[in-house]
Amino acid sequence: MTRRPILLVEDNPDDEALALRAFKKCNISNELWIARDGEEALNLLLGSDTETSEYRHLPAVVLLDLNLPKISGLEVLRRIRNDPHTKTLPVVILTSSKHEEDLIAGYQLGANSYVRKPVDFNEFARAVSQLGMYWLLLNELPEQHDALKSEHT
Amino acid sequence: MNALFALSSIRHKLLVGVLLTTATALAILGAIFIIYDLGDYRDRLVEELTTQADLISLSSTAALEFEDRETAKQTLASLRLRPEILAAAIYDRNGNLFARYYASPAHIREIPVRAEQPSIGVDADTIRLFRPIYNDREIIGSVFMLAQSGVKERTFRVLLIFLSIAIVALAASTLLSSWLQARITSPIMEVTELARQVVNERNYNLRANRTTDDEIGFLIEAFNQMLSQIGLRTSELERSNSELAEQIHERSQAEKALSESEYRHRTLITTLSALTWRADAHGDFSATQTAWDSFTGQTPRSHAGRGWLQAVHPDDRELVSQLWNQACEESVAFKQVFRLWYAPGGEYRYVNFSAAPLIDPGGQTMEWMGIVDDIHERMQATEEVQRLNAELEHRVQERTAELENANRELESFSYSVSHDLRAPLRSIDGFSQALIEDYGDKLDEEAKEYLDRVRNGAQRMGRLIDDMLNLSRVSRMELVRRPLNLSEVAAELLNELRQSEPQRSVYTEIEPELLAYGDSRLVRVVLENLFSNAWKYTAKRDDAKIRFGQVEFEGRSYFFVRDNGAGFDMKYADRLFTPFQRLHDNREFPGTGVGLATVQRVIRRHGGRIWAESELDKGSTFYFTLTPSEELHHDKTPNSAG
Repeated sequence: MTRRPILLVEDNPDDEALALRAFKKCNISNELWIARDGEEALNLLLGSDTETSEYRHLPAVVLLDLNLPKISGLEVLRRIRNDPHTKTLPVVILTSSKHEEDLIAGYQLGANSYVRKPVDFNEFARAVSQLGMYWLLLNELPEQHDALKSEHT
Repeated sequence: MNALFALSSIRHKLLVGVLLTTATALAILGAIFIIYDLGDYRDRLVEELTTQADLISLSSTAALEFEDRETAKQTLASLRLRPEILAAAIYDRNGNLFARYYASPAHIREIPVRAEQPSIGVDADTIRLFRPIYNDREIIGSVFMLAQSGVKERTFRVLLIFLSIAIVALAASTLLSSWLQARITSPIMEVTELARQVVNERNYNLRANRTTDDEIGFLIEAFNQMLSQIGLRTSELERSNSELAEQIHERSQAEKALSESEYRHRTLITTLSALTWRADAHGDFSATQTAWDSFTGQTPRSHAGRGWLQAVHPDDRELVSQLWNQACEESVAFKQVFRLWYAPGGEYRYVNFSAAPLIDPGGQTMEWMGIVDDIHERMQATEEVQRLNAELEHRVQERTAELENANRELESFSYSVSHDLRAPLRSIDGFSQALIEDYGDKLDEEAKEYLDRVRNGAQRMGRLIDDMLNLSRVSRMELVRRPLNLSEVAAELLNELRQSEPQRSVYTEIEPELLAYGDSRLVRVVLENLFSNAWKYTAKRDDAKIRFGQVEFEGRSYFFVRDNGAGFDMKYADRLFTPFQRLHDNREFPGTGVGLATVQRVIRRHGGRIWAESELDKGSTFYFTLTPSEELHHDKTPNSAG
């Protein structure tokens, strides 16, 4: 299992708390970065803000909500994909919306997955657990990420 | 009749002719005979009486000489032997009565007292005579005699004889003429009869028999020849007549066709409310254009040549003139809509001006003919329609914009519903769960149960939101129809259901090749709902059965999904398809009551219909079709109104 962090882009503190709870529940102990709006997320990933340049090494996966203050989730995704540095970064859209347009736009912009947050917490926890399982354990990332990782650590 | 009359006339004429001839001859003969006979009779009478007188004279000479009256008297008395002598007298030399005689006293007065000059007088009854008495050439007296002349009787007798002869002669003539008639008229009669027959029967093969060699024979011969000529001529005439009749028939047919065509055209032109005009080969108007002039108010002088263009609206004139010149040059049909001055109304009116060249066999334009159709109202109507259309278009655009706006609002609303309403629910559920997990030891069972209820409520609301969004989604989604195999979709869905609850044993039956034409995603929603309902409501049965098939009603085919599950009471059937209306307890059969509403909405969007039949605890059957039907208004089933 990779030790790289997970980036959770979530503006709702309740959801953030529930997500943390779910991670804990399924024993995902990776470092969890939290961004509370789109701008913050982009700063973390693309390092336009010098303060946050420490985050220049990339997370294993981005769990991205769509409905975000300042910069919307889809815009965040577009910029991630437009930047050569983050072009291949796994991004999972984790949102309340099951809107068809959001789904289509998400995949068209290069989302790797689209997961809807269930109301039922048990189901939510299960979804988070499965995501962690998949992206942290099963999924193989290209060398570039490891190289980048070693460079920055 | 005329012939007979003519013939009887001939017969009559012949008879009259013969009789007249005979009578004339007899009359002349009779007249001569009577005149002669009466003359002769008179002469003999005179002679006889003269002789008698002479005898008396002779016998009485002596008595006179001797004045012997007695002797004279006796002499005269001898006349008694002659009864026709009525009276007689002898006069002396001096003319005095000497002696006298009378047959009866009645005649005394007849005897003159004095002697008269010698004379003889004869009348119808008597003969009277004075005669001198000579003695040696010396007149010694005179004698007077009066006798019955008998001329009258003689005349009667002669006439009687003559008349007898005449009657006999005329009778003979009549007989003779009858014989002649027979000889002359009977062949004529025969010919006449034949002619009558020919006329009546129109049989020109009849021939008269020639019996004599005379003029009548010749006449018959000529008549026969004439008959054969007439026969020939008649047959020729009949042939030419029939030819003529045929020609006349053909011509009348042609004329009829022509007049019909003419009538059609006239009617057409009148109906078209169009006026016609004519122009010469160069496109110049001919003199008489009554219809044109009464429309435009022009005169033969003003419309002559290209003068008619002056009636065209100034704005259109140049173009019309140009196009007209071109049409005339190329001899091609011309059609143009322009504004023409309408004199009676004092306005320009839109007309459809069309013209066609009449081209002779040599390809030269002989003249132009055309019609002017007043289409002003139509044009105005068209303009009005266009204006209205534009207005309508504008309004449609406005409405569409409004609608699009509303749709966008609705979308963003449903977006926020899905996003923002769910987030708190997740918090409620999640933290209730956290409470149970983290502080379970501090809560009693009742508190835990309440928290469970909180969670159930939140989750149920989550499902409601999802179903509502789904319902609004199927209404807004664009319909893309294509051929579908419902059997395959059904098999897939039932398979999913089976996997979701592998512990259940449900007997399913799907008719193969159930084909439909519709939107695959939406139809899938329909089947999803119907099958999950069937699955859900058969949960309490050990022998659960679900069947998907097709049936025919009144010539239309319907799909059906049948189960033997809980069913429902038909009296609530009308609430079946209403959103959030449920016929079952939520604890028994959970659900939001939006599924069938969604199903009905999809089916309506396809133009089809859906209804259900059910019996409590026996199962339900949902019938539906995805194709529009003109019978939609019929509402044969209570549920179709939904």
